[in-house]
Amino acid sequence: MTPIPVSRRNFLRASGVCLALPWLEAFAGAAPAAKPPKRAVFVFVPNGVNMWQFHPAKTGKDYELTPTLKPLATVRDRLTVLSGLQHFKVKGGHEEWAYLLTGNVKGEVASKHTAVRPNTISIDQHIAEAVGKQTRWPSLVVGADGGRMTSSFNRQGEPVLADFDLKNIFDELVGADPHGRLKHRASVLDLVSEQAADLRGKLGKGDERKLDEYLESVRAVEKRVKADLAFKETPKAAADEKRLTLNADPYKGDQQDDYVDTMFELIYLALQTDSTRVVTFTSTRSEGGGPLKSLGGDWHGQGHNTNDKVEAAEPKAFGVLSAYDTWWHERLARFLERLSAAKEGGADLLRNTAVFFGRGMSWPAFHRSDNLPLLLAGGEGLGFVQGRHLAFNNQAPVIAVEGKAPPVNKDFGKNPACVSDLLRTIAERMGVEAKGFGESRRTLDELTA
Amino acid sequence: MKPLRLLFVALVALAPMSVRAADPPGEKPAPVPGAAFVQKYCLSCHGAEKKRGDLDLSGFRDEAAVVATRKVWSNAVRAVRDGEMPPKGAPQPTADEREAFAEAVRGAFRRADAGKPRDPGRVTIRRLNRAEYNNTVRDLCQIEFEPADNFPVDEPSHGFDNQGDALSLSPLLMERYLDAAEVVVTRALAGKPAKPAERVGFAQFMVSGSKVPYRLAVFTSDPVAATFRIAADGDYLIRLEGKPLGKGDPAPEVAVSVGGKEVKRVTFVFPEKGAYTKFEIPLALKKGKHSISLRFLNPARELEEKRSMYPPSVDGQNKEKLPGLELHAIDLVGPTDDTPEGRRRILACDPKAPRREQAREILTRFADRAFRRPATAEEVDRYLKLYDRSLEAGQNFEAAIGTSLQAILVSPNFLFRVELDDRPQEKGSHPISEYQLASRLSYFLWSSMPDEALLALAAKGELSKNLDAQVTRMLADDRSDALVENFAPQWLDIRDLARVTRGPQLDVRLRESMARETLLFCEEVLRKDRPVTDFLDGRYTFLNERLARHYGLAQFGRDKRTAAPVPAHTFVRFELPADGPRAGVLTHASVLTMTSNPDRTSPVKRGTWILENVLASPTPPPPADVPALEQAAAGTVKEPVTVRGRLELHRSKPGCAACHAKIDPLGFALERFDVLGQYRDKDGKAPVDDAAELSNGQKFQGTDGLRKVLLGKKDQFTKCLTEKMLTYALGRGLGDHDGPTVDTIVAAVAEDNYRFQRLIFEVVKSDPFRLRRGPTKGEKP
Repeated sequence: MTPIPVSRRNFLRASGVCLALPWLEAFAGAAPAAKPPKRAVFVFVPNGVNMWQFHPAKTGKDYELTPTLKPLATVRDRLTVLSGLQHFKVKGGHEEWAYLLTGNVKGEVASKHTAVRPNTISIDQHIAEAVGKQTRWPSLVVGADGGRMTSSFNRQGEPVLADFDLKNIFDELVGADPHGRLKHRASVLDLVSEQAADLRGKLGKGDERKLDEYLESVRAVEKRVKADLAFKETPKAAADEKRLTLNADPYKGDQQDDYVDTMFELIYLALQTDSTRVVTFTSTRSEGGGPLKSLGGDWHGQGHNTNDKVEAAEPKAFGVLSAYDTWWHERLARFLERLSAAKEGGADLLRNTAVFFGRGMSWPAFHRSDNLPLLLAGGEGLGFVQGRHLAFNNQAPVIAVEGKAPPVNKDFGKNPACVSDLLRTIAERMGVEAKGFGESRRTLDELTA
Repeated sequence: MKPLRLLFVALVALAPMSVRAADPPGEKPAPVPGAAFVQKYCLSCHGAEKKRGDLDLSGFRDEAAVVATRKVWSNAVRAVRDGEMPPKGAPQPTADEREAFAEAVRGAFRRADAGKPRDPGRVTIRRLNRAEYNNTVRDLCQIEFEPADNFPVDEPSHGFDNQGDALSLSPLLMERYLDAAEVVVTRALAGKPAKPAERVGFAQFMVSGSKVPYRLAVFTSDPVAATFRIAADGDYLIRLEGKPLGKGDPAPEVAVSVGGKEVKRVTFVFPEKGAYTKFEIPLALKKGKHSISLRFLNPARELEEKRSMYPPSVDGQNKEKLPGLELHAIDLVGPTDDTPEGRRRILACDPKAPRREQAREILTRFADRAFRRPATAEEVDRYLKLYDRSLEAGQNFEAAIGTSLQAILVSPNFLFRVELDDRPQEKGSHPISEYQLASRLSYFLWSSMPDEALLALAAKGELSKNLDAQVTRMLADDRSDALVENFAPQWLDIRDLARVTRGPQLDVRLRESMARETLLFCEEVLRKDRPVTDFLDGRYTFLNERLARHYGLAQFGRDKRTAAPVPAHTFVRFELPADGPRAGVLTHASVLTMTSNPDRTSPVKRGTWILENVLASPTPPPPADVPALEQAAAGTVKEPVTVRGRLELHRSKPGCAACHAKIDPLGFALERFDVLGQYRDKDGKAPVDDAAELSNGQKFQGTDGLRKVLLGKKDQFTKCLTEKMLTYALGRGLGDHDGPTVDTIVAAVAEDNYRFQRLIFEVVKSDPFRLRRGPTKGEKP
């Protein structure tokens, strides 16, 4: 199934790929008594789920894993299943990827894909603004589609472009710089700053100011290039190349496991090496063509075909959804296990990493966005209490009404909660004030009590 | 108001106040301009007795004395025009009185300046803005892609985003420049274009500027068209993707035309594999713009009202499966020849020369073009040294050349339009160099670098002699689309249309259609060389089906009056009825939407818009203590219901009256158009009242009346447009010293029946466009 990654192996050997691991147990003695950093990972998965098989019937600690959640049995104690959350105003539809992490109250999305107005900032970028300076990358934004197909938006509401190229992410991560870009860039910068200094002398005062801006910018970039070059020289431990299939093609059905697993492995490496503390993985687009779409059955189309009926009425459509859900939960379980196996500062990596795994759609037939299927894992070190199923907004268990999906819950009770509240809680648990984020009105103290 | 007073103090201190020089014998000196105004409104404070702010306007004997203290009087004019003076509480002149005073003083300056050399002003070194960067890279490297789309937005100033003073550079942008340079060079030098061929464009079914095609459902035989621009001659492939909608019986048959000529017929059946049936049609194309259109030959049913299924957020309700054709993409890829034009041109060199000489040839030619002037030997040597170092570091010939090309693309000489004085010894103002003139021309008309023809003329020193011919040639070139695309939306203030919210009715397609209408209209005025007054009263416009319906001009996809079909996806020219309410850009939905509040029309915004963009007579912003309209009206005995009623109340307050008497009437006349520019008879429950009265007592009604008022001031409008275009062309805000230039241009345009192209020619011929200020001693920063 998996193609033999000959070139990759050669590359790994030839360059002696290594990673700096500041927080690894092995380094713990050497490093000054620093506390492990707090981190957050946000994963978006499109197209909704088979809602009959996602939310457990019981809330609290003693809930039973539903069929599609079964793959998460090994990490059951490390995660929380959430019921009843949604955005207050935003609906989503095919643009749910752009709302999930922004809770854009204006209800419109920017991008060349769909529309129009700039989005609002997404929570990962809000956090990255505060903590990003401490690491090489303020945030790592990735996705199988890449580019503007991203759930991350900056303060101006412009999309933060996602990287889809596994090899590229890996190269950046290890500072391999295979084309020697950095050194060339350094000499290019050398040359232009000489040139600008010459030119500056020939200009009038008003123009000098502009050239000063230019020179300052060149110097700032030079500094970063030097830091990156220095990073290449730092001592590193070897990366586990068995877990990396850097040439996996997300468009090919038989390589999708490898693609997603490798992406998760790269995310793990980025966190472990403290290259970044904020990661967003916009897995893939919701509709139309795109990668991660050929696991057997047309994911999006079959979602429509469920028609919000009971499972028995549309067994094929719901079957395809269940297969996708199970597949994604297997990928997630693998990732969570990986994080929990890595030790740092007397605990494991997962303990200091809040992992948000969410869909912006629940019932896929008409793209409903109430009672979203959301999971929150890890982050106990940030104060999250795991191992439960929590229902918000008086959400009742999913039970068929007249042979169809239950109607949208309208009665949210006294203390309504929304997705923005959940995202804000993660931010604030990382020490980043996020009052007023998206649609948020409160923090979800239920998650930490 | 304080800073202004201080300024007066400073200026008065500098100004020579002893103006009692003897009059030339036998000649009667011209009187002080605006003397009556000064007497009536100024002297009580700024006279010989009080000298408020150390300003005494009483001692001036004649016009010459006024001209001799130009700065003092310019400031006085500004203060009066801006409404800062006379201060609150003092008797207030009417807007017309203010204007007349300003005109009198300026007239005096003009008379004094007549025949003297004019000050062409000074332009701050200009960084390429995003549009200019994209276009320059396109023309420099013959590659079609837009690296600047990821650059931070350029800060506008004086209404335009190409102003030297405002275009700044940050580390973030510098990093993007470096990234872009890498990508540009890699793509320009790519031996074989990425995957079968380089994609030159996508169909833009609904959203212009979108790179991602929507799926489009076609049910009728109206053509679906997409326009592509290609940078080089060559063999290309048209790629089509689609499938039948519904049962696919009969299978949709489609005629494919390029530039109106049918090239192929294809039949869409359900695909055996994959989501869509794909076709590739090879053909040879010349450099330039090409329109590819598809016509559905056998639509099973011509629907009364055409509908499109995507984007679903727009027409999500359309669930019914209708027999039709679902189009996924019209793509043009190529050229299929595996040596891109850019690579050939960049790497061309003497095959017999030694490697290093080849490198010199390549780098010299590239630097010459990138810097838009011959690179100096010293500059080229630097790039050659970098090339040497790259070779030492293990790069091969091409990679080493590439590194030096990248260095050229991030050089200040490329990123900035540097205009060093080539004759610094010359004292007075003198022409900029021929190469600089070539760049000024090309960035004005094309938002891009000069082409070979311009550079060749500059090299021979013959460009300034051939200005008219070159402008004619450049306007005929496709690249002059950039003038419309970049100038018009900024002048008319509709660039932010994409950002306004007006509820669900204003969806993507409507927004895009609105913007498109205005662009196409402006393009028509330019291309057909129509009089500039068409902007005010042109009885034609460009509509697609959606917008025609929005305007109530179409029903069921047909023109209401002629019953001719209105295509759903392309724009057609509409002749507007002579008795209808619409004419010119003032009644475009784009402008009317931009000048409304989300929930109600705003006569104030519309009036202000006209004053700023049509009459060049902006009013100062309201003072800080003015309450909002709603609050101002609250608590009155009888609360007026209409916006107009509330405004009348507003205007009855003395603090507001001075400006609002000038603003509001213009806006009232447009009250028959709602927040989205749709025609209405009622505002809420009250009938619309679009009667208005100017502060001089002239009464008029509705858009017709407004048009007459504005056409009566067509020289003022021409002046406004001239100021805007000169600002755009020069990349700097205008100052007092530009006044004579503006007047000259307006007179020439008026002389030539107000033709729009005359305006462009005159701007190009003007002193500030062609000349530079000589070096001045002790020049202030």
